[in-house]
Amino acid sequence: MSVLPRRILKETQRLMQEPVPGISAQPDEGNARYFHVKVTGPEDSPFEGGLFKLELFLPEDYPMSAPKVRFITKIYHPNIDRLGRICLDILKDKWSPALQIRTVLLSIQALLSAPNPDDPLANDVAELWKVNEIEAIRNAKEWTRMYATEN
Amino acid sequence: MSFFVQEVEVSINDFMAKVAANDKFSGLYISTYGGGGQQHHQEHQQQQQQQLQHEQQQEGLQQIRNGSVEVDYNNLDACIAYADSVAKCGRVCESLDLYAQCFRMGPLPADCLWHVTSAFLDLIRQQFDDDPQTIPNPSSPSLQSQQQLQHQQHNNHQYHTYTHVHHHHNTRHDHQQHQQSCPFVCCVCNLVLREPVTLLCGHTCCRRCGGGTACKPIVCNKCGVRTPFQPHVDVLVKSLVEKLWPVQLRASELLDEGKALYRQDKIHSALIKFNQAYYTGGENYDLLNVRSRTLLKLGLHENALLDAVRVVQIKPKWSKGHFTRGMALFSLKRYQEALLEFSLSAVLGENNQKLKSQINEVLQRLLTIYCNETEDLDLEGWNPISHSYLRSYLNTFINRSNVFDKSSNSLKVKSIIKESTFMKKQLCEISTLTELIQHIFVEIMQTKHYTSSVLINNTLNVDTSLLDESDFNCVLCCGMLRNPVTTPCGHTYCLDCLEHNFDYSFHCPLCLTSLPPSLALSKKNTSEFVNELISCKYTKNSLMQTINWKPEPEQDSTYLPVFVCTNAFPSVSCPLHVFEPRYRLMIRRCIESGTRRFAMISNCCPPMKFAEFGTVLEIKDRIMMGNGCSFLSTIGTRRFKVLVRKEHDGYDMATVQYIEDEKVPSKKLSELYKLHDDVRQRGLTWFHSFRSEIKSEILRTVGFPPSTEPNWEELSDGPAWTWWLLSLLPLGQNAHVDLLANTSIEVRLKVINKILSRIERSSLSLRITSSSL
Repeated sequence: MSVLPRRILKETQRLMQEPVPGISAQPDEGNARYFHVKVTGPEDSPFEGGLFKLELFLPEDYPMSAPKVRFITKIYHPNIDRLGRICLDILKDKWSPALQIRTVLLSIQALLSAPNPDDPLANDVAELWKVNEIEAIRNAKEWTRMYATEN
Repeated sequence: MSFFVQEVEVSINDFMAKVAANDKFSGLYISTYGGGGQQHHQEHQQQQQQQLQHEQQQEGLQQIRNGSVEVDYNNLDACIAYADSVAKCGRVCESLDLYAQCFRMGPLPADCLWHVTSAFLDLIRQQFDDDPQTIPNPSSPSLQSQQQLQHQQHNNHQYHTYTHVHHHHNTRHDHQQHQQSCPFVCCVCNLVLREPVTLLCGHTCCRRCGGGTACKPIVCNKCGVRTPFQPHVDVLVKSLVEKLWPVQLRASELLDEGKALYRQDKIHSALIKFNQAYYTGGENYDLLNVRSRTLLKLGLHENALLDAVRVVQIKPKWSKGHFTRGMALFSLKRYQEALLEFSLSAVLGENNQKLKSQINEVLQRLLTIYCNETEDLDLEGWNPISHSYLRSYLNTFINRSNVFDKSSNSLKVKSIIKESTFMKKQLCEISTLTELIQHIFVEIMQTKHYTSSVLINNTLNVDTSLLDESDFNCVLCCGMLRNPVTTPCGHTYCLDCLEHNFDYSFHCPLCLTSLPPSLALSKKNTSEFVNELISCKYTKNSLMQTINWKPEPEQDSTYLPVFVCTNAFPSVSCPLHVFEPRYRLMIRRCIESGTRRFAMISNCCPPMKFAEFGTVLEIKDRIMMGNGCSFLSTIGTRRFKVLVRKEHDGYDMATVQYIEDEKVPSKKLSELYKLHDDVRQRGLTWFHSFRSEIKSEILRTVGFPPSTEPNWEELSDGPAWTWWLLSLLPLGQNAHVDLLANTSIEVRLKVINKILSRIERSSLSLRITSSSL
């Protein structure tokens, strides 16, 4: 039981009022620190057409600590492992309290547009991405169609 | 030099010898001026010599006057040499008298007045630095009314050409208020902030006005605090200035462009820029000053003077302004006034060769004019003796004595001062240089006592409708900035938010610049600019009601922050190392709020985050480490039971109920006393059985065993020594919690007794085992 800091209230309010295109973040009914996130796959990326679900949790000492974010939808990406964990510097050592939920989600969306196989989290995916990018992209599109498409 | 030098006549050999001696002395004077450690001694010598010299010169002069020594006034060399010598002794008026005699033979080049110029500068500077007691009270009604009159004259006659008239203030009182009330201008140039940088002290100045370099700290013009780094542009202040005063900023840019053109000698284009700036943002002293100099270069002397006069009016104690005005007057051949302005410039701080040569020039012109216009005057007419009271007045200045006290001619002097405040229009009536210099003295002293660095028109009005809440948002808490502080990288946060950020990292949250921990942890001053602007826009009440500012939480002794760590006990000290960011925040708040208390509870009861019982710790001392961690000395006070658990900014809070021991029935007391004495004895014996190094370790951590209080059975937590002993006994955390929860001293004594006997048995068995081995 804790009082929600004004910062979280403000951020939630703004996410609702001025949502980022291609991103939706809804706070959980029972826990204002837990968000259900949906990110659409960026255009001109292998993830185009997909809708990816994520979960985002604001720790007790947010914004001093980074939010914890994880993909729920399976995704074929060199920087996201099979548990949905994301390798993104701003979620770790490059976190700054001036960053917000909004900016974090935008960064994740950008990560989908620009996979970085040189800093891999999913080693097999990254390896293929480096050796045979065409096949890797084909896989990514296939996974997007299988797991991230509604019907 | 084109004048003819005559031979020295034998009849004034004696006089020349004196001159030679004088020159020798003058050499000494020059060499000791501004010298090192010997100066004092030499000055003393010099004074003696001066005295001697003075007498000799007086004598010589008297002889000349009486006709006992025949001086050939056609002998220029001798006259100039003598005049120079007199000047080197600091007797400016006399020297000028002598020069006047020379000039009567025909104009001389300005070069030969160099010594008297130096002496003149020394004299007025010394005069300016002298004790203010010698000055007529600047607030005396007569003077003030005259000042007002002057102001009115200025306003009515001299500035009618200005279409853009700002409100003029006639009294000094107004000036002062104005100066104090504008926190939105640069604290150095008093103009709209260009590329603002906020210093360590919270004052803001233009970056170029700050003038610091990588190795030279910026010293605040307002408060003198040193900023030992080169701050970056204050992003928030910059955006606010752009929002509130775009016109003034544009004018300031035009001014800069004009200055650049002026430096390239494109005078006409520069003037166009200055005029644009003037019509954009109105007048300011900087603009008018540089425009005046531009107009002067273009030969528009009258216009240049108008600008210069206004500069001096806006910023009366600005040496550059007086210099500009002097230049304009000089160009208009108003040499008397020019000399006055140059003198003011000199005493107000200007000290360069240009000023000195200007004064030199002016003196030359003045001497030329006076001598030509007063050709019919004989020597007696020039003789300063005829102005004996003036002479004595000046000499008193030279001797640094008090003019207006006890002086027999004080009345006369006062009347001179009164008259000469109308000097500006009466200058034409001044017929001797001596009178002029006397007048300059008066003006200098009046300027000195003009309220310090008075400025008018330096206020920027704030149109609060241009501002809204989002202008003052702290990026960390998303609330209105509270105690805004600006980092060296130019970003502004609430003081609390920034400090809490430093609990985690020494980086600026916005630009990730690494800030040195020493700086991050030093005391931070709030930004005056932002603070004042917020209070322009909001009243304190509206801040509390409409914005997020919560009033300081009421100090409630049963709602406590919780340090989840270990068990602490009443009266027992508990040293702590605070390194976790959330506890740094918590402890900082404890100390800043003044409560200095928090709850210490152990984490021994999973899945609960902390146990149900604990002890309040009071902070005795805190030692800050360079990295933001700290060491606390604390002491246990009361025990409590946790009723409600909450979280706040990452750490826990608890509503507690204090617990106390039950009262011991009197019939049980004697039994309890016996138990108490036995257990205490037993405990101390156990303690003394330790090896000395263990004992000293214990003493260092929890202190000496407390002695028994006389009324221990009535205390809410029982005798202190029981807790001291409990903290040493080898018990689990759960057992400690149970004992904290227990409200019977009898039970606790029995438990201790039981544990002690167990320890005794085991150590006995240990001893037996070890001896049997």
